[in-house]
Amino acid sequence: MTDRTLPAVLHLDAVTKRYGAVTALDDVHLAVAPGRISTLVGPSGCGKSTLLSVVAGLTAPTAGRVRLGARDLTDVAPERRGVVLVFQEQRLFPFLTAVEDVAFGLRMRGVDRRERTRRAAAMLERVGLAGLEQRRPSELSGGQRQRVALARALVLDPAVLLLDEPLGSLDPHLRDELRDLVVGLQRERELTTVVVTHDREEAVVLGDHLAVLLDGRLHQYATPREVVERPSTAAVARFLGATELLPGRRQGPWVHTAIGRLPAPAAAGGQVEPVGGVEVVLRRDLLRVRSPGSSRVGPSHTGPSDIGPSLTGPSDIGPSHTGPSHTGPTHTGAAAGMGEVTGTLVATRYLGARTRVTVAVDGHELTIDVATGELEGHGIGAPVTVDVPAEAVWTVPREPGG
Amino acid sequence: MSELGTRPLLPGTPGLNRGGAPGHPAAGHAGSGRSSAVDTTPSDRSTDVEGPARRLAPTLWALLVVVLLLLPFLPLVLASFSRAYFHPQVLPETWSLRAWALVLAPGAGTWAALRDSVVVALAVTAVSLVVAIPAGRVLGTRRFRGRRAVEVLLLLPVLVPGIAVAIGLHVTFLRLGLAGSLPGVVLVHLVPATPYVVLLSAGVFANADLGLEAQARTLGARPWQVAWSVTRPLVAPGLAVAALFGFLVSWGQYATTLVVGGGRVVTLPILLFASAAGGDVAVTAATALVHAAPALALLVVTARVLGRGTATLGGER
Repeated sequence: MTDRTLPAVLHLDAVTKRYGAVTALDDVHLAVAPGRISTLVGPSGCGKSTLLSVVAGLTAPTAGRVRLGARDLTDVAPERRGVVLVFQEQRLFPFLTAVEDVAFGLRMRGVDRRERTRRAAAMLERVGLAGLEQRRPSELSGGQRQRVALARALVLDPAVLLLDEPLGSLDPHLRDELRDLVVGLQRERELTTVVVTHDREEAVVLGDHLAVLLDGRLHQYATPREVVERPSTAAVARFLGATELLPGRRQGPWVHTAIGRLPAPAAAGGQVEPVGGVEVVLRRDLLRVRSPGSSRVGPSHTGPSDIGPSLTGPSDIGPSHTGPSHTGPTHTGAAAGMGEVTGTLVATRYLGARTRVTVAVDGHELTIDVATGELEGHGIGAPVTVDVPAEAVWTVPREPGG
Repeated sequence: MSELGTRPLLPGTPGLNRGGAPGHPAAGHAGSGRSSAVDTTPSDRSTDVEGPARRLAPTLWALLVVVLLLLPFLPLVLASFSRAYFHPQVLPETWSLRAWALVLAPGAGTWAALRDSVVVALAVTAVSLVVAIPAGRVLGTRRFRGRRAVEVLLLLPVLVPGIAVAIGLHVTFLRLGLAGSLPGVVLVHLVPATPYVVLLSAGVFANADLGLEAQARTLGARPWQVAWSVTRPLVAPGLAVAALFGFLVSWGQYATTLVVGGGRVVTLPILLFASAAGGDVAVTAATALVHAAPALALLVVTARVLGRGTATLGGER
């Protein structure tokens, strides 16, 4: 369809979509990574499906442009965009067999019967449906229907493939299988692919890039790791599962919060303290819990910023160190080290290899995932010390009014 | 009544296939009666009895329905072949082909009436479909203020007696020069026929998965290709039933045809009432059969075609 040597970049420029008083998409700017899978994640009703529909040309944006490379698609009819949307409900044609269904798009383009049947059959074989060419949708399982829908889109060799919750309606064991198939097919073709999902885990595992859409606004578009470890906003952090956001003030290599002085994020060298302060996001899997006074648990997972207990000052509880707002570039990556706070163990929940514990520190509850067995002998109500390494700390701008 | 707007009058097209009488009240009693009979059967024998009974039951019921549907025509058939056929007799005293010879004679007017009936009914079907397809699509798929009111308004012509409508329209048609003409009759038939066709069509569109149209667009189909390759196969079976209703409503019109046609447009019902008034039982019976046969044939053909259609259109196999 298009020159394959350099897949064009799909751009959304200030795309807004309103339905009456409801704003489904609010000034979305996005440059989709060419040749990769981007997942678009957000809670239901956040505008994900509207965004796909706008890109596919089935919904006209209220404002903004959609471009593919240099080509402005905004006013181009859906059938001329080279963009194929696969709906969640698969939408196979009930009056066509699997092979006819896959050949549908080729038929619309005037490819002759023999050629389109050959290509459709080959594509069905590629998605693992050889032998089922003559089946009707009613004679196929949910997973098979999803494969037909994928084959039907891929046989057209689209410039951009849009998948709306492709794994949403499948059983868990089928999901993994189909996810591998989607990734495999995408890699073979280096197809620019946008996958919508409401499942955070799926979004992280499936995507080369991850776009977080909340209430019609695009909050962050980055690699899954970047989004998980360095969320751009408090809303993203909350959506990805952070339970406690602590208001804080940056000061040098430290962030002062209600529960004490914590090391500033080591990676946030260039971060500028926003007006109005920050909120601290703690990664529950990088916090450590131990008995007060005991030596620090061996942190096999921590990086070079973990430089031993000697650098850490005494436990500093309370907001006594809340300093003046620090603006301007902060100190570059000098290892800020380790913070620690003490609190009371208030709950534990067994999750298998990990145990989720809740520690109350000065009225704030920290949720921490520890290796099961690590807290052997600590009952509810026991005093504990929580080690806070720098890489467990991330700051986001404080939400207005928050 | 208001449910008509969102639901087809027939229980889906496959219903037509089941013995020709969809929703026949007897069908409801069939199941319960049989199962209670099975319950009283000793358990060791029940499997022997139940097997063939279960297999035969649908056939028997279909047979019964056909008999009930066709039985009323038996006296007509007998009468049409009689010369003398008087009240207490079960069979005619003397048999004769006289009535059929009269009715089917080249100059008898039956052929002209048959032609006019077909022409009018086809025109009514065509025009009502042209109205019903877009109207039914909007009524069946859009939620808008006043939809209920539109549905009630659509049903009004069905509730008002046709003769009242016809007499009211007659004056206007006289002024327009439509009285006594085929187009005039077509127009007056549209009054009772269109509501049925529109409401049935609304049900068809409400039940169709029109999301397939958007899917087809993103797969590269232009709007006209979508209409032909996706929408048409989706709604054709249901619209065929709607069209059949339009045809049959027109086919059965008497009063409206009489008033607006003014005796100059002679359809089969007009001819039938004329011969009934003439008092010749045999000729009336033969004319009645000529009138009924095409409608019955159409019903059976539609049911068969749709039955085959739905079998290949997904559903069960």
